[in-house]
Amino acid sequence: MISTEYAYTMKVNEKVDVFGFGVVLLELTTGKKANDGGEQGSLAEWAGHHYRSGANIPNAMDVCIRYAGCTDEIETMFRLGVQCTANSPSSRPTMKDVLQILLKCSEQTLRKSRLECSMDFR
Amino acid sequence: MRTLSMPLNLKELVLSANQFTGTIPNSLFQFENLTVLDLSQNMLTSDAANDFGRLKRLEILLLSGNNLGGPIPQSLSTLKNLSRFAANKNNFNGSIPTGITKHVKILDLSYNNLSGTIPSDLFSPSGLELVDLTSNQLDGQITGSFSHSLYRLRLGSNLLSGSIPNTIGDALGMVYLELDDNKMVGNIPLQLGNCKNLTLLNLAHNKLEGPVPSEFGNLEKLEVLKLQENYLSGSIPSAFSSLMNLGILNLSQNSFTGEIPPRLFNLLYLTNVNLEGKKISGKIPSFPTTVTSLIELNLANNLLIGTIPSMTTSLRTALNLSHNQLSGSVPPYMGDLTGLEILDLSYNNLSGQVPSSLTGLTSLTVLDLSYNQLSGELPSFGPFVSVISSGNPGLRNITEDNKGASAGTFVGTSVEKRHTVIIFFMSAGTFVGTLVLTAVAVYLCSKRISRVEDADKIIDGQLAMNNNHTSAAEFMKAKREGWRITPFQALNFEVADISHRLTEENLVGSGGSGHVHRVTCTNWHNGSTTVVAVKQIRSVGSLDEKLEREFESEASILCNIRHNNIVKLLCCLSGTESKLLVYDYMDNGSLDRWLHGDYVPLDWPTRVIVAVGAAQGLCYMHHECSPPIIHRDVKTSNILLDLEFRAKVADFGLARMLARAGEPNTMSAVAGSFGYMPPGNDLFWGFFSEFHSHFLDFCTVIGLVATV
Repeated sequence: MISTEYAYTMKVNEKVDVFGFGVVLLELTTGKKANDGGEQGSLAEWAGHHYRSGANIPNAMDVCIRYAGCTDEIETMFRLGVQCTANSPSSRPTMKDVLQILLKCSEQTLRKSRLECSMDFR
Repeated sequence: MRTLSMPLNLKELVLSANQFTGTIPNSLFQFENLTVLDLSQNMLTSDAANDFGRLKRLEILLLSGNNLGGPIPQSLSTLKNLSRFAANKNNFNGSIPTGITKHVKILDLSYNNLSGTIPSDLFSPSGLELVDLTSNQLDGQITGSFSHSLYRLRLGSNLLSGSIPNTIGDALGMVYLELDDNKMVGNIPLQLGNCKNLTLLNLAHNKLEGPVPSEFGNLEKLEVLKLQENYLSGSIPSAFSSLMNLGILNLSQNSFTGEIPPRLFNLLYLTNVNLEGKKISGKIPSFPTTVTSLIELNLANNLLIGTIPSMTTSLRTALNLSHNQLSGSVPPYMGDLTGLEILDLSYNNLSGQVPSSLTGLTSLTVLDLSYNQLSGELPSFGPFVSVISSGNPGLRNITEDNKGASAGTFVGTSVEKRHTVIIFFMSAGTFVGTLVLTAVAVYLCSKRISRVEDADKIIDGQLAMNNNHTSAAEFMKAKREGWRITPFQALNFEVADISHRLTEENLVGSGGSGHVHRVTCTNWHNGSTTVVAVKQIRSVGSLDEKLEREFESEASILCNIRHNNIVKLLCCLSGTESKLLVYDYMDNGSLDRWLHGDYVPLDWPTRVIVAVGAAQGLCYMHHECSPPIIHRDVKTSNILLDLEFRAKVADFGLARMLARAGEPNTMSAVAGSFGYMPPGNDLFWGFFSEFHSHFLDFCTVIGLVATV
C-alpha cells in the first residue's frame, strides 16, 4: 500500500521542466527520439553515458546538421542538454542559465550563417 | 501497424498513446499467451477480419480512443478470462454482442455508434461491476435484471425509451447511475429507493413524469441528484431534507408544485441548488449559518412570495431569485455575501431603497435589479460591476452614463488577493497596425473556473451568466445552445459556431486528453478568416475526472499568461458533453513532427531559434510569473511552431502553480511522458510530509485505476 502511495505522491520543482527541456535539446542536436536510447533506455541516459565516456560528440549529432559548419554550437547545445538531464535536480541549471547559454549559441550561429556557412546549412 | 516480431510467449503488450495507424495486424493474434493487450489512444482503423477469439488467455483488452469501426467482435464473448474490455471513443457500430458480460466485469463501449436494443441479460451476470454505454444510438427499453455487484451504470445520451424497470431496485450495489438524455417515460420507480449505496443519480433530460418517490429519502449516501428537464410533478419530497450528504440538487425545468421543504437548506454539504421551474410556491426557507459550502442557488421562474430570508454568508458565486413574486426590501445583510459574483433579483416586487451595503460585495460582477419597485438613489458600484436597474420607475441612477460607455464590452470584478488581474485589449488585426480599443477586465481565474466547473455538474449549461462575455448577442447565442463561453481575449469571430465545425476532415491531432481540430472562422468586422485550433475534451461524468482536472488546470493557467513563446488561449467553451479550448492556430505544427516525422529536416539556425524561443517561454513561466508555473510535461510535441518557426510552448494540462519559487509543490498524480521523466529522485522526495492532504487524491487515483 505504501509503495503505491509513494508512486502517486510526488513533489516537483521547476527542475522537472529543465529536465524535459534538456531532452528537447538532445533531440534537436541528435535527431533521436526521447525514448530512443538503445541499451541505455532513454535518450537522456544514452547522452549522459555518451558524454561521460568521452566519446566523440560530433558522432552523436543528427546527420542532417552534422556538416552545417556550426559544430561548436551544436556541441554546446548537446552538452547543455546533458547538464539539464542530470540525475540530481540541484545540479541542473535554471532556465535562466539555459537561456543565457542558448542566446550566445544563437548569436554565434547567426554570425556564422551570415559569414561562412550561409550557403551550407542542412 | 506493421507485422510484429516479438517472442511468441509474450504476455503483456501495451502500445497505448502512440500514433499507430492502419488496421490491427492479423499477426497479432498469433500471440496466444497474451493476457493484457492495450492498443488504446492510437489512430487504428477498422478491421473486420480481427480474430480476438484466438487470444484465449486475454484478461484485459483496451481499444479505446482509436478510429475502429464495424461491429464489436462477437468472439469476445467466448473469452473466459476477459474481465475488462474497453472500446470507448471509436466508431464501432452494430448492436452489442450477446453474452459479452458473461465474463467481462468492466465494460466500456461509450462514445461509439452502437445501435439496437440492449441485450436483456447484459446487466444480470453476477460479478459484473461496471457498464458504460454513454453516447451511442441505443434504443428500445431497458429490460432484464440487475446484478448486485454492478456499481456503475452509465446509459446517458442514447435513444432509450420505455420506463425505468422496477428491477433496478435489485441493483443493491449501485453507486453511480446515469440514464440522462434519453427518451424514457413513465414514473420513477419507487424501487430505486432500495439502492442505498447510490451517490450519484442522474435521470435528467428524459420524459419522466409523476412525483419523485418519497423512498428517495432512503438514499442517504446520495451526493448528486439530477432530475432536471423532465415532466416531474407533485411537491418536492420533504424526505430530501434527510439526504445528509447531498451536495448537488437540480430539479429545474420540471412541473413541481408546492413549497420548498422547510429544512432543505439545512443540509450541511449543499453546494449547488437549482429549483428553477414554474410553479414552486410559498416562502423561501431561511438558511442556517451552519451551511458553509453553498456555491450557487437558483430559485428563478417560480411563484415564490414573501421577503428574501437571511442567507448564509458563505453563499458564493451566484444567487438567482429572479422572476418570482418576492416583496419587501432588499435586506442590508445581503452586503455580507462577499463571495457573491452574480446577484439577480430582477422581475419581483421588491421595494424600498437599494442598501448601500451592496457596494461591499467585492467579488460582484453582475447585479440585476431590473423590474421591481425599487426607489431612491442607486448606490455607486465600481466600474467592474455590471448593474441592470431598468424597470424601477422610482430608482435614480446617477452612474447611468458610465454604464452606457461600457455596455457590450466586459464586465469585471474587483480584486481579491487570490484573484488575478488581467487587462484585456481588444485588438483589431495583428499585422495591420494593432489598434488597441477598450476594455479593462479583471478576471477571476482559477477560483472561478473550478467553481463554475462544480456548478456545471448540476446546471448543465443553464445558468451561463457568471462569465465575462464579449457581446450580449454572443452570450445569448451560446447560452441557447448550452455552451458557456469564457473569453480570455477580445474575440472577433463567432465563437458559438465553433462547436458545429468540429469534423473529421479538420481533425489535426489526437492526444491522451482529446482531439484537436483546425477551424476557420470568419471575422465579423471585415469578413476575413481567422484560423484557430480547437482542443476538444470530452467531459461527461466522473469517469473523466482526470480530464476535467486537466482542463481546469490548463484554462486557469493559460488565461494568466501573456508571452510571445506561449500559445495564446483565446477562449474556453464549456458544454454538457465536452469542453473546447480555442487557441491561435500554429501553422507549422509541433516540433516533434519536424524532428521525427516525414518533413524536411530543420536546419541548424532554425533549431537554435526554436530552442531559444522555447527557453524564453519556460524562463518566463519559472522566473517571471508569480507564483511560478511548472509545465511538467515539456517535450517536443508540446512545442508548437508558427508560420515563422517561432516556438510556442503548449499544453499546460499538467502545469501547476507553485506556492513559492524553489519550494517543491506537491503533486497527486503520475504525470509526464516517458523519455522526458526525470529519474526517481525528483519524484519521491518529501513523500512523508502532507500525507493527509493527499490521501483523498490517492483514493481518486485508485478509483480511476479501478474503473476503466
